[in-house]
Order: sequence, then structure tokens, then C-alpha cells
Amino acid sequence: MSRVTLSLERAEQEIRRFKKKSVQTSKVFEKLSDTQIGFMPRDPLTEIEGVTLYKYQSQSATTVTIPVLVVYALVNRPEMIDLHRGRSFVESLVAKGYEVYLIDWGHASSDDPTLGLEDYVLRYLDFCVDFLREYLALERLSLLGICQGGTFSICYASLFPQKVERLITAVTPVDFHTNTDMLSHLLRQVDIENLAKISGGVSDEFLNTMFLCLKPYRLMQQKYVRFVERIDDSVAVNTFLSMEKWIFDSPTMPFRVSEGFVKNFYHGNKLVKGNLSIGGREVKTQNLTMPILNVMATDDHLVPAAASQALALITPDGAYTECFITGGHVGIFVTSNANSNLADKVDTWLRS
Amino acid sequence: MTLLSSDLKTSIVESVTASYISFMESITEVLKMSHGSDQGASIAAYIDSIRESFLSSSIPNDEWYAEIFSGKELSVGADTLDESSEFITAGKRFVHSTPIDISIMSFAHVRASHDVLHLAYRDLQKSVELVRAHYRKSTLDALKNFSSFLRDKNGKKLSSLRDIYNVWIDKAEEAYYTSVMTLDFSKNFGDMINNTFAMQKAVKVFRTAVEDILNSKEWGRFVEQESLHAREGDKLRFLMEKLESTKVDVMTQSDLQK
Repeated sequence: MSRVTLSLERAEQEIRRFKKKSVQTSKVFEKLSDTQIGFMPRDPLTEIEGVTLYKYQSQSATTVTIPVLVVYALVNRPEMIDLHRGRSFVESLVAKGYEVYLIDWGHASSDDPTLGLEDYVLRYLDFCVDFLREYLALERLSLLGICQGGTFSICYASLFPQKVERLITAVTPVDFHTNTDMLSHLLRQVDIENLAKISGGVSDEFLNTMFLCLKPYRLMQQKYVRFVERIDDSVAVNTFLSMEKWIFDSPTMPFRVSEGFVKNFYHGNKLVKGNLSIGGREVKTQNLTMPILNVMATDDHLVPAAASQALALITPDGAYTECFITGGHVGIFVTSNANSNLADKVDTWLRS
Repeated sequence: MTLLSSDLKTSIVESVTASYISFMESITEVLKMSHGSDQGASIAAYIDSIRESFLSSSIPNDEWYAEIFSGKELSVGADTLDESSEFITAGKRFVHSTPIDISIMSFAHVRASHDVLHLAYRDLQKSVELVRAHYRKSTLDALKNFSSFLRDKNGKKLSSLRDIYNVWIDKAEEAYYTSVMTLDFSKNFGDMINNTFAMQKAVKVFRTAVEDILNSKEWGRFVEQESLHAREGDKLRFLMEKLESTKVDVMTQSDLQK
């Protein structure tokens, strides 16, 4: 029997239906600039050179006395963890009674292109951790690093193990030279120093182009076909617009930090090789003696599981736990089922 | 126009919508012509014919497959190229219209940066070509795998145009991944990015050189001289015209006196 079993009637009906829907798309994107992302109320606690430490307001009746500091990536805005109601990882954590704090790196490029890795890890992150330790009267704090923010958190926890209670890394690249890492493969021959120098940093357009190059047919075609098909579903349309807004509203990475990140991690793979220094200080991953939970996404096209799992190889025995959440790199934070699963895993582990 | 602009998004959706409708209509036409024979095999034959025509074409058909990579919404170099080509044209006009008696040093400076720009543009074109060759190969492989899948009678049945389209996307991504993950691609892609930024730098240098000339004293003097000449020319023309009319007047007067 043929692989294809399709009646002409059905085919023609499909075309008619799609054409009808496609007419409705013309005005939808006018709403894009007004689309709001990030719905959970939050209060700024402190600020340093455009970097703001926020506390999410809790409406939960139950409280857990474990504060969690979320360290997000520089390459996108942190609203990904709080897209909108029902699609917010922060909401899920807060609902479980956690006090959630977030470092918002801001749009640093316009302020100072000379900012380097040492500024982010040794100054800003350390400043926020110290502030919270004092604010909460705690000796140590639990960090939840996401993607590049996870890499920063690993470096920080290696440098300041005495300040970190527990470390959670989510979709975090550790080994940047695994065989299936397309982003690393694309960046391997790029002269990042020259690129960043000429454009004053790694621009959002460049980053987005690189991300789109990872799956061009899905991200530039199939995604939009699906969008047209669901044009009658206002919830789906709003979610789509929120995602588009979040994806393409990314900050430029300042010159020195982009150069440092690509050279040390994507080119040098220094975290795994054990020869990474930040601001002249050696990053010793054998200091990662605190309990570690490494969360990976089953279908992560940006950070393949192998790239994250390498964390197990550079941490001392006994401290490391890992788990998988079904979904993609972003999907595990924005799909309601997945982010609820993620919050459950984090919750169970933090309470253990 | 940024990647977040609503106009760009609308145009992307319109383009994707048009290409999807065209895909569905083509497949439906094939189904109409299959007259009860194996539908999978009929569509596969159609895909093979596309591949054949694509294969025999020496120049990659950008419209057909490369738009998603080289369309202005995606290409890191597209804006720069547009901008630079306009600038090159403007630069050429400037160089051609510049009289040779203005400062040789400034002029040579522009020519040097123009040569650098020209070389950077050539290098960029070469590396773009190499990257496109990879895309071309991956597209050919994708078509081949798509066709094989459709001919295979085993496995999951496809009962809608969307199912068929999804298989095409899967096959295209698989072939793309295989092509991109080669060492050659990494080298060529890196070169393309590096050359794009070298081009940007060359454009900046050229622009500065042109601006330097336009702001230079020599240029100022030249413009001043030109305008002085122009004013004097105007005066001269005026006087000549006046002289002509006076001549006519005098002649008329003398005719009348006669």
C-alpha cells in the first residue's frame, strides 16, 4: 500500500482552509510591539551599573525557606522564565512557596562595551549574592543558572564555593566541543575578536541569525505555517507573539564579554579542560562540592545533552545529580506541562 | 528593519504562506494526474524531476531554496552588502566626477580604501558562494531522501498535505544538519562571517576616507573655486546676453536711422 493515502477532496479542503486562515494574518503583527512579556510582579532590591536584582512577589500561602537566585543568560532577556500566566516557570516555583530572585543583566552594551567575564562573574554576580546573603541573613545561597547563566554559575560556585548552598544548572553548556553541538560548530572558525571589535559586541541580529541557522526549516518555515493554522486560537496567537517578542528582543553582548565567552568556552573549551581563569583567578571545578542538580531538555537543539552532562565529569564524586525534562531548550520553561515538571523536579531536589 | 519589526514578520509570514500554498497546490496537481496509481510514488517522481532540474542547473537557484538563508531578514551580510554596493556606486560617481587637480594625497587615500573595499567584497562573494554550495548539496540530499521516503511503502502513512510537508521539513533539516556538521562547512561558514565583518570594516574606512575628503580644505577650496567660476560664468553669460541684446538694439536703431 502506498505511503500516501490522500483523497483529492481532502487535499483541496486543506488548501481552502489554509488560504482562508492566511488572510487573517496580515494585521496580527501590528500587536507585536505592544505584546507584554513577564507577568509576575517583582520588586527591584538593588542595582549595580545597570544590573538589577529583583525579588518576585509571592502570592502563595505556603512558603519554603529556601531562596533561589536565578542567573539567566546574557544572550536573551530573562522573561523567558516568566512569559505569561500559565507559561511561567517563576509562577510555578512561587506557587510552591519559593522565594525567587533574579539577576537582570540589563542592556549592558550601550553602557560599557569593555565589560568582561570578570565583571559579570566576579563583580555583578558576587555583588548580588553578597547582597542576598546579607538581606536574608544566610551564609550560603542556592543558585539556579540557566543556559549561559548556568555556565556563569558553575564558574562562580567554583570560585566562591563557601557562598553557594546548592547549585542547579538548567540547559547549561559545559563541554563546548561535543560532536552534536551545531552552534559550537558554526562558531568554531569565527574570528570573534575581529567581529566584536568591528560591531562593538555581538549584536542581537547576529545572535538571532546564528540561532535560526541551527534549524532554518523549522524556525523560518514550519513555525509560521503552524502559526497560520492556529490563527483562530487567540491564546495560541498571543503565546506566539510573546515568543516572537522574547526571541527577537535580545540584547547585544558587549565586546569583551562576547570575545571572552566565545574564546574561553566555544573555542578553548576551558571549563572542561580545566584551564579557565576569570579575572586572573583560576576556576577550579573540584571546588564544586555543594549538591548539584543538572537539568537537561530531551530535545535541546542549542545545548545538546552531552554538552551539559559533561558537568558530571568535572565535579567531585557524590555531589552531582541529573535529570531530563521532555521538551526543547526553551520549551521546558514556556510550555505549561514542562515548566511545571521542571518546577516539581527542582522542588523535590531542593527539599531533599 | 530589525528582526522584531512587524512589517518584516508580516512579510516573512506572507512569503512562507505563499510557498506552503504553492507546495500544497503542486502536490494536489500531482495527485490529480496520478489517476489511481501509487500516490507516494507519483509525488516521489515529481520530487525527482525537481531534483533533476536543480541538479542540471549550474547556478544554484536562490529563489527556490536559499531565500531562507540569504533573504535580508536572515543574512548577516545582506544589509551591509546593500549599503556597501550603494556606497561603492556613490564612491565611483564621486571618484569619476572629481577633477584631477584636487589634493592627490586625499584622493590616493580614498583609492586605497576603495581597493580594500573592492577586495573585501570579492572575498565575501567567494565565501558566500562556498557556503551556498553546501546549502545546494543539502537541498539535493533532502530531495533525494524525501523521494525515497515517499516511495517506501512501509512505515507511517501520510494522509494529509500537512503530513507530507512535515516529512519534507524533517528531511530538509536532516540533510542540512549532515551538511553543516562537516569540517568544510565550519571553515567556509566561519570565512563567510569573518569576511562579512571585514567588509563592514572596509565600508567604514572607505566612508571615513570619503568624508575626510569632503571635509578637507582642498575640497572646500575646490567647491569655493567652482562656485566662484560658476558665479563668474553666470555674470559672463549675463553680460554676453546683454551685449547681444544691446547689439540688436544698436542695429535696430541704426536701421531706423537709415
